[in-house]
Amino acid sequence: MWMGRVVGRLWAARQAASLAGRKLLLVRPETASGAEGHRLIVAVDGLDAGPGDRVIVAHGSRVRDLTVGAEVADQDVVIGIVDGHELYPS
Amino acid sequence: MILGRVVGQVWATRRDARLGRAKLLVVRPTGIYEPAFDEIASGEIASGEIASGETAFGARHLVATDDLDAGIGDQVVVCLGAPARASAGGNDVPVDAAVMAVVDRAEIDLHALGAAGAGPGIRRKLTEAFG
Amino acid sequence: MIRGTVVGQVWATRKARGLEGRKLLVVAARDAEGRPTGRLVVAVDVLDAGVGEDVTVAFGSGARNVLRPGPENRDLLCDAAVAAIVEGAG
Repeated sequence: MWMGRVVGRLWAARQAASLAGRKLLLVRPETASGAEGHRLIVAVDGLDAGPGDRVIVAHGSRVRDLTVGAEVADQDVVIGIVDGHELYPS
Repeated sequence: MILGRVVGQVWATRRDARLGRAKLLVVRPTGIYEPAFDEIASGEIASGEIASGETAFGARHLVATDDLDAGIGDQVVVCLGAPARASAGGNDVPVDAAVMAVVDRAEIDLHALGAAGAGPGIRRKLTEAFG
Repeated sequence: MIRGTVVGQVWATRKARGLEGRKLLVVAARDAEGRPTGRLVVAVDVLDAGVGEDVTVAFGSGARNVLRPGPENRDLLCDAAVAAIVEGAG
């Protein structure tokens, strides 16, 4: 999994039927030390994450099948909302 | 799988219920791994870009579930992809990375590494990591 | 599967269930033509491959099948296993 920050949300005028009712979040990967990734990921949210939340995103068709359902096109799914973390010098 | 070092921990009370109370550890991959896991975004993190410090993600750490009570500073072996579903005592846990071993000792034969075509940069990094 | 050369070993007393006592090898990956890719894989070994030997490594459900053939292997936390020791190619 990777951690990221919710920086926005997508609203769709038209979308695949299987995505209807699903919240799509824009997430910027962010390491525990705060370094930011270069690209945003569109992730399906099953936990009601909000803007500014740090989230844990898992990737894969199995994860998708288990959480939001096999009919959902997106394979990146929010599986946790971070309360806090500790990072030690490595 | 990949070899990595536990460099932190993440707490998340709001989580998919199937994760139960599994610990979530921040792991820094040691070395450069084959991203043969086409389902895995974590594979991008674990793969070659780590060496240059830049990834398509910009992330140098992955988050993995841990059932083996690994501690900060431990070296661990992390299972990636669909097989990671077998973590946290279940077999349908929606995660893509899980600690499958806590390392007592890791050894690389530098001669074999050189013979296998690894360049000096990689060998240097692995010598640092494997001691 | 990929090709590779065994370059090291990992010893671990604490392992996920079903994998106790299994050997873990570090393999330097090669492409199908045999050229090193510069990347590694840590794989479970049941064939007793030694350092310097050329092998193939199976991933995902294929890896689990190497450890325990059949459908009852989904509880194995293993994504890579040495599937063959290569004697020659071409």
